[in-house]
Formats: sequence, structure tokens, C-alpha cells
Amino acid sequence: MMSVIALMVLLLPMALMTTSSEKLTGLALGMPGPTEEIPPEPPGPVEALRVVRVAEGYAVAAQVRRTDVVTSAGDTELKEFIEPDLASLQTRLASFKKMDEKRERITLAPAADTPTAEVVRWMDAVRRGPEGELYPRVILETVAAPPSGSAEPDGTSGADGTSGADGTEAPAPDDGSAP
Amino acid sequence: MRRLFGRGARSGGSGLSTAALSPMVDLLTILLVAVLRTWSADPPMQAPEAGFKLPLSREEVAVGRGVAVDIGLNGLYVEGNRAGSVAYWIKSDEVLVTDVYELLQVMAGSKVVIRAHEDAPWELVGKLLFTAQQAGYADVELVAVSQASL
Repeated sequence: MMSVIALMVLLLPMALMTTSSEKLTGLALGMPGPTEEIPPEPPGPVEALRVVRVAEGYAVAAQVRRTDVVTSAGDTELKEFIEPDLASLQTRLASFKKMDEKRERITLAPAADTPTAEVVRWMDAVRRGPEGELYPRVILETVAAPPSGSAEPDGTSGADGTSGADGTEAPAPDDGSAP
Repeated sequence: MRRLFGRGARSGGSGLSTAALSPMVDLLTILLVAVLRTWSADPPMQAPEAGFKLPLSREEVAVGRGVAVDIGLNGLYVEGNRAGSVAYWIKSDEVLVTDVYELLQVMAGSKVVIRAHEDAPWELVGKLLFTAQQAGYADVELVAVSQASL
């Protein structure tokens, strides 16, 4: 028993001395080459999902496939909502997730003056909500370049990425961190 | 005290009873696990400016190694060396941050680690993402402080 205590007494100060209390994490951003584009998402009921930071909160725009019998890919209707905060945004995104559970990608368009801390919080919120995983693959639009030049994911799983000036995509994190 | 030292002391042993030491071992084990769980073995980050503060994230993926690009409140830094002015590049209409672009090309790495101050505007971060992309870096990480930190 004494040897166990002695071991602990040695290990604890050693761990405190050799480690740092600030644990850094990396949000991986898969960047395509300058002339490459992000590959299209596999078709599903929700064909496009984009959230824009506006003065009133978060503007959600979703291209949802029509439910008509003759509906085919590309025949969609635009649904738009304004959510005042991240909690209501997560609720809204959860409803879209139920419509198309296979979809993993979402596009975020921060404003030019949006602080980086808010963008990171936003990315965390759209990846995982209170009810579980939402959209782990995040494409970040930047205001530096026109949205046509979206960035492509590097295809690596287990990290999250952001997109560059024309839109870099963050691969999905695999750590399963709690919301 | 009698419980701690009673039987052991009488028997000429260590002087501490096992029953009294078990909670101490449990406590030390919990402390050790908590330290290992919430602390990082990575070296502490060298802040490029006073008051430099990273954003907070729920993620816990470790930061990879790459060319460090810091976005402070006053300056832009590549590997700790000042490369440009934040005030200038925020106002500039140019998308490509040429000061950083040239240094990134000289470094000739494959990965960029961007450490942006939590208040850095997204427009500037976007310009640097674009710059890294144009410099041929396909792997970019945005660094944040994990909420798992103590």
C-alpha cells in the first residue's frame, strides 16, 4: 500500500510539471488546390443547406426536394428560416437531419466582421446538437473570394475542417466529443 | 489518529492502517487520471503578442505540426516572426496576403497551423486561408483551446 502511495506521489508532481493546463485542439480544414472544387454531396431529400450570419441571428436556407410523385433530383423548393441563437439553430438543423439522415455537409457563411471565436462556436454547434450528431462536415465560406470557388475536403475523417476564401471544407471530427 | 496508527503501531509495522490509506490512494488515482485527461503534453504555446487569446472549442483533436501562422490583434506572424500588419490587411482590398504568401512559399511545407486571436475578424482569417491555399498548402488547421482544459 505504501509503495502505491509513493508511486502516486511521484507521478502526480511529474505529470503536473511536464504537462500544460491549456489543451489545444486543431480544427482541420481540408483545402483543395487553387483550381479544384469541392465534390458534390450524394443526392438526398435535402440537396443544399446553408447558414448565413445576419444581424437578426442565423439565416438558414435549405434546398429541399419536393415531395411530389414525379419529383426528381434538382426539383427542389427553397426553405428559409431565421434563428435567433445557436440553440434554436440546432433545433432547426435537427429537423433537417431527420429529413435526410445521410447528409453530412453544411455550409456556413460568417459575416466579414464575425469574430473567430464565434465561428468556432458556430462550427461546434452545427456538428453536434443536444440530440446527437448533426452535420460533421462543415464548409466555411469566406468573404475574401467569390463563393464559386469552394474548397474541397481532404477526405480525412476524424478532423474538422474549414474552408478557405472560396470555401474550405472541414472534415468530420471523430473524437465524439460531447455537446 | 488511533485508527491510523493504532494497530500498525502496536504491531511494529508501517504505522498506517490499510483501511485509512485506501481513500488516499483512491483520491490520488482520481487526481492522476484527471490530470492526464485534461492536461496536454504539448509544449505551451508561445503567444506572439501580449493578451493573445485563442477561441474555445469542444473538439479534442490534437494539433498537428506545420508552419505556424498567427493572427494577433496588431500583427500577422509566420513561425513567430512578424510578417504584416493586421490593420493594413483588414482594410486592404487584396485577397492574397502577399507578405505571408512569400514566407509560406519559402517555408515549402505541406501544412499550415493558423492560430487566430478569438477577436480576429473572419474576413482576415479567410484571406489567410486563401493565401495558404494559393501557396500550395492543402492541409490547414485552425487552432483553438479545448474545453477539456482545466
